[in-house]
Amino acid sequence: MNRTLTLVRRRLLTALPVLLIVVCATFLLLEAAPGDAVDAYILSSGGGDAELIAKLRIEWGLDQSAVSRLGVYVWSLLHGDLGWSVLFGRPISSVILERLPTTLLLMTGAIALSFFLGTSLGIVAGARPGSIQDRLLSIGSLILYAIPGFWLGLVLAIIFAVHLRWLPSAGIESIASGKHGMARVLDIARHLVLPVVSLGMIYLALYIRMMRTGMAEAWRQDFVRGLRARGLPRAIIVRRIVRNALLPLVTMLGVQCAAMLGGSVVIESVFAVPGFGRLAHEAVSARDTPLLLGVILSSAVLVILVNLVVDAVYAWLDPRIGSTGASA
Amino acid sequence: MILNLVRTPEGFVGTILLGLLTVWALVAPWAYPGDPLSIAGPALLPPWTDWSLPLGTDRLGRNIAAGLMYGARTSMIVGLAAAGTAILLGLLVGVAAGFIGGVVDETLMRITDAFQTVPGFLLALAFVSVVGPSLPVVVLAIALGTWPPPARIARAEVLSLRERDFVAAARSIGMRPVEIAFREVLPNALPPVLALSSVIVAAAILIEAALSFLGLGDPNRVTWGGMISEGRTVLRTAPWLSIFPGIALVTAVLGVYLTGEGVVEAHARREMLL
Amino acid sequence: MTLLSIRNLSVQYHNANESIPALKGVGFEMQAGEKLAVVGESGSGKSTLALTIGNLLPAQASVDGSIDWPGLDGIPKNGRDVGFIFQDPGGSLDPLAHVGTQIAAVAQYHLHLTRWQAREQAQLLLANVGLDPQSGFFDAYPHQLSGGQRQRVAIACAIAARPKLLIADEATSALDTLIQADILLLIAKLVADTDLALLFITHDLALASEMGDRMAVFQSGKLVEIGSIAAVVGNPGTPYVKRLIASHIGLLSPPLVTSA
Repeated sequence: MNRTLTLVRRRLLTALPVLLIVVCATFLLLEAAPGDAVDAYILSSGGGDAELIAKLRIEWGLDQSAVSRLGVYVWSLLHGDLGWSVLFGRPISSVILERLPTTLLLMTGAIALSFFLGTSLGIVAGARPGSIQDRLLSIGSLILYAIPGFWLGLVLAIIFAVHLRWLPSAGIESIASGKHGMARVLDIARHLVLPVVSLGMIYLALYIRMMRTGMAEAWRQDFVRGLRARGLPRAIIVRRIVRNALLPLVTMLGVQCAAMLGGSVVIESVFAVPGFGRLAHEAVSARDTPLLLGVILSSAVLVILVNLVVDAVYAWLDPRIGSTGASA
Repeated sequence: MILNLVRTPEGFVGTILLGLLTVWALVAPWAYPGDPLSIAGPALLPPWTDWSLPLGTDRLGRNIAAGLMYGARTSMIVGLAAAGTAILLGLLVGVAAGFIGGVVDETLMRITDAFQTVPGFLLALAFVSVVGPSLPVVVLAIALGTWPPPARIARAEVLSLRERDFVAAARSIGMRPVEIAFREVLPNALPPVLALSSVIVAAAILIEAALSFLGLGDPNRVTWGGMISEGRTVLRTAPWLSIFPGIALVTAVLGVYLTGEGVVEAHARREMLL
Repeated sequence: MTLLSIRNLSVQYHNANESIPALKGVGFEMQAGEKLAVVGESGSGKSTLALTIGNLLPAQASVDGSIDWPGLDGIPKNGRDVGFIFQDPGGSLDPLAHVGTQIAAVAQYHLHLTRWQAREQAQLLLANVGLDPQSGFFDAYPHQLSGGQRQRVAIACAIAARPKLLIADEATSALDTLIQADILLLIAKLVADTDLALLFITHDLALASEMGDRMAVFQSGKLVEIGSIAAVVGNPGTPYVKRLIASHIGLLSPPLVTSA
């Protein structure tokens, strides 16, 4: 446990300068964009006279130098204030908090699907390298890897929503259906099936391939010969190989989180899901730069947090990480 | 080298697909001269009905087959240019960080981390929306999101090469550090980075398609992503508008990826025989 | 009683272009409880011999000839009938599992013990190989142990199911001199205590003489001479063995390079 905690602490220390860089970069981009926070507020609240504008500027510290403006920016960030959205006429943080849970649901589903199904299929392929199932899964995962998520979403929508009518084609739940409790959960789940599958497909393919390669390589490792030399049955050997091959995949979970955040932009557009990803698209369409940068900043924070958790889990799983080494 | 590549099963299929694609892209101006965005026939003509419009037409009556061919040009140009930029940028940063070390290394690595922390697609999105959609901007936007992995690999290679004897030898005959970095270390750091190149090209093609799908591609060019987006409104009645460009995308990405794997395999085989 | 009988054993490794012979027509016998030292230089095929007996050869290898076990009933099983120790101490251990668990797994499977019984067995074995269970060795991971300690664990795994034959393939070549001596003493003690037969593979003539009753010399995949230690070392029959013994450099050998 100690080992994991020291690792997390070390990771946090390196994450902070990274976050600072992202914050500074967002600040610079905000400065480069025309208008400032006061302009945005005035614009969306229906205008105001020069006196009000000047007063607000002083109040919000925006009449000072660039460095102190950066300070104001960081200070407000620490208080969770990401600025004002022209598009929504509301604080950006409230918009993001409203949209984030949907996307988190989507991402969790996609990550879970791709990881568990991907590693399982990868184990099936890797348990007997060169077999029929190995070859089929290899080719299948390659094709899957090449399919763009948004196009897959459209194709799946044509098949399952239009022709078969098994699943809904848009939205996150049936509008004004008045469903509660379990019925609502199921309704949301039905709406999520196609987006989750479209989002998770590419990483499903990746995990199948990684697990397969990992196992094929693990078969060649020395300790496997040791296990065979001890006459242990195939089942036990495969189990040990799986544990060893699984580790590198855990590190991919952090990378996948960032990729899923990016992918959610397109998938949510395809399926009209009112989520965080689509927020980015809406911000771009409306040229609401503060909103877009707020989205980017929160994405960075989310990715850093997820990576921290993933690193901690990995350290917990692999006893070699952070260990002091051979004892006397 | 090409012969070895084609002998591997991946390389064989990959080069065929890529070759098809290249021919497809190059032949476009001869097969369908003129502006592919101009109207060629009646709107929403189904495929296989008129042989001058083999794949049908879209909502405005534009030739889909021409669109596919011209779209291939866009995808290939963007794919290659973006990957090239990303690799160049990654090499510069990685070699500098690995070779100079110290504070420079730390700073460069934190910057690399920062670029990897923000999801690449969001970065590309923001860049294109702030600067304005055009081909060079799209290329740069994609490169911004894909340069960190080559940088890390280059740095790792340089770190391990730095301690090797040939660097010490170069230093002892008086070569300047910059010279050593570019004449001795860089060429040796190149192979693992290049092994990544097909993955980056494939990713670039997919990102460009997604950007075009969202309406952020170059508006003056035909893009497969744009075609798919156009087809959304008539998905129920004329699904082929979206299906054909998608198949083209899958073929392109498969071709690039398989060729890359074939090169790696051919290289590995050559090493084994030596 | 004859434990192991090898007749006309030939092994070839095949790759895309050619077939490389590793063993050519090797034949010898081992009695129960006997200590046979196998000596040879690199490429002599001695490691291939160990792998062939344990059915651990890679897929591209083909085997001709016979390996019979008149001393055992049924087909021999690794772990239960034959135990192996390899050159790389940590190489045969799973990096993700506790050392004690790995030993217990062997005992549990082959001796049909419950998990608890197997744990107890593993503790005993750890003590036997000189790793005090009270010091927490059971829950240690391989990377936390030194080379010598890892080799002791490997030995414990090899003898956990009480095999009749222990094959040590260059078991001490990767260890420091002092540790080497400890491990050799351990192997000798274990073999003496349990009446194990020992097939000791090494490139070191001196070690071979120490550890074996008989010595077999291999050259380029062929068994060129076999006999008691005294016979082979004192009165070598073949020119190769003569050269081998003559070029052995020990502490008492005259210096090779003399100052002018």
